[in-house]
Amino acid sequence: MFESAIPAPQPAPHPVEQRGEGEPIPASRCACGYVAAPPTPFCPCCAGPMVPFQVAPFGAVLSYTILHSPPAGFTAPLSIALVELPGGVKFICHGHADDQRGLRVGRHVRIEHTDDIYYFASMSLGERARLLWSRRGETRQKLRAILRLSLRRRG
Amino acid sequence: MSDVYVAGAGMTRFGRLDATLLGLLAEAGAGALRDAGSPEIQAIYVASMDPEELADEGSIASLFAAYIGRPRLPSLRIETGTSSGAAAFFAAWTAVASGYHDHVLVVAGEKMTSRPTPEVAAILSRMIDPYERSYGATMPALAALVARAYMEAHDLAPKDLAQVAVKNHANGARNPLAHFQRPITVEEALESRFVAEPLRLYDCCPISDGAAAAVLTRERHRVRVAGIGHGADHLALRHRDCLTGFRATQAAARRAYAMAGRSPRDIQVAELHDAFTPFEIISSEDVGFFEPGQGARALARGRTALGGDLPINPSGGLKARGHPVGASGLAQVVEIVWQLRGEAGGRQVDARVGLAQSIGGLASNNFVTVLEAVA
Repeated sequence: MFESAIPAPQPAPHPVEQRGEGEPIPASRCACGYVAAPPTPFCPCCAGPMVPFQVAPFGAVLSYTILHSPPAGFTAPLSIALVELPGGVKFICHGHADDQRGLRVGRHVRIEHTDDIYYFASMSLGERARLLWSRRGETRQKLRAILRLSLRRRG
Repeated sequence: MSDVYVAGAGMTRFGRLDATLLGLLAEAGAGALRDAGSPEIQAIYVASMDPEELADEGSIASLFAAYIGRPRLPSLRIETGTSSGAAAFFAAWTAVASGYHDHVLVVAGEKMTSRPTPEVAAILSRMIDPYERSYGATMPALAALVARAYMEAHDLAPKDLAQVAVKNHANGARNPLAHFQRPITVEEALESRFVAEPLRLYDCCPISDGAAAAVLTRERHRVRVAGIGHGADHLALRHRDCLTGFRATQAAARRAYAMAGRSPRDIQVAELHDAFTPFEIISSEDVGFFEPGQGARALARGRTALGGDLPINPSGGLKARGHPVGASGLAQVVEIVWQLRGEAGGRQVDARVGLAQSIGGLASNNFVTVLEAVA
């Protein structure tokens, strides 16, 4: 009954770094062909063992929302997007929360991260800093992530 | 397997109430037992999603049995998130159908309004996959992702969703137990604030208190449980193969129809899980009433209104009757029982076969129940 949930098997990992398309997203792959990002210990579809895998950090927006009533610990507005990475892998990340120009289903986006928090590469430094600040977490850790973000940008 | 009948049904008012969780469960339970002619019940099945955090109560099954003065009656608690009430009904059905028990009392309730909304949202979001939750995903956020994907695939506008709210508020206005008993307009719905774009406040069910109850028995009564199905799917939205329908509902519906020897065409009234307006449209397709993408058109034509050929959510649904999370799945069954017995007052429809569909979490643990009036 799960056949339809399994995307076609992917051949070798995408040689993304050589193509200058950014840091690949860590994933896991099952012998059945299913790829999960982030990696899971067991296949979500057939319970088989997973081996480490990588997926190119770009894809098409399947859906997105701007959350105006976020859960305790998060600040509004908060954007959550579902992106389809190469090979049909669906991935949750953050997108533009304030500036939604051009944000639509089907748009191709590239994904970057800070401290394993993934977001659209098209976001400005200000947007990224605001995003990291609006997430649930300890103030000190959030400030450190924002500092790292701005240092990396300058470097 | 024995035939199982609903001997009695009961429900409290839903809304922002002063009563405690135990008080609500007891009121609904007493109503169902009275309605059933006070049979000698052998077990109590209790559904509540999170009484520990929402009502500061634990061991809720034993506590409830003790509270109503039946400490020696075996009781157990069933929990499947927002479908807990339907799950407890399902579990009690298996106990009676197998012949293990003759009469079982099922009670389902939630006390939600004592906690501030952001805390309730955070508690409810624990039904979500932990990774998706770490991105701030709440139930409305994931429902919004599904809503946008569905609207994009089937070319729906926000006003198409608002029609669900308008219809169900109109029905709720005829239900004296509903949380909201005031009709609303499309304009009001479209002017309400965004919760999670594209969903606005009026696309989302309220946070409510309330309880429902039923007595299941092997003795012949006026309403028979004709078919019952339980379906599941990935907790994580990112592992789903379909964003515009819920596999868990589809699987539960197939099982329920097969057991009942019925098809979607036989259903004359339905209670569907409209926690968010797009869910009613999607669910009406998942249970086979309409082809994928046709649910909104059927709604716009009035087919699912009180006077239509297939009324959906005559009670007002989760949208207007309210959504005390653990109670809703059983409250749907109670409404169908009342409809089939001709006891639904100002919202009565003409029906001999009805269906209730309940969604647990973001449609990861769903139930479909087919009920029939016995001639």
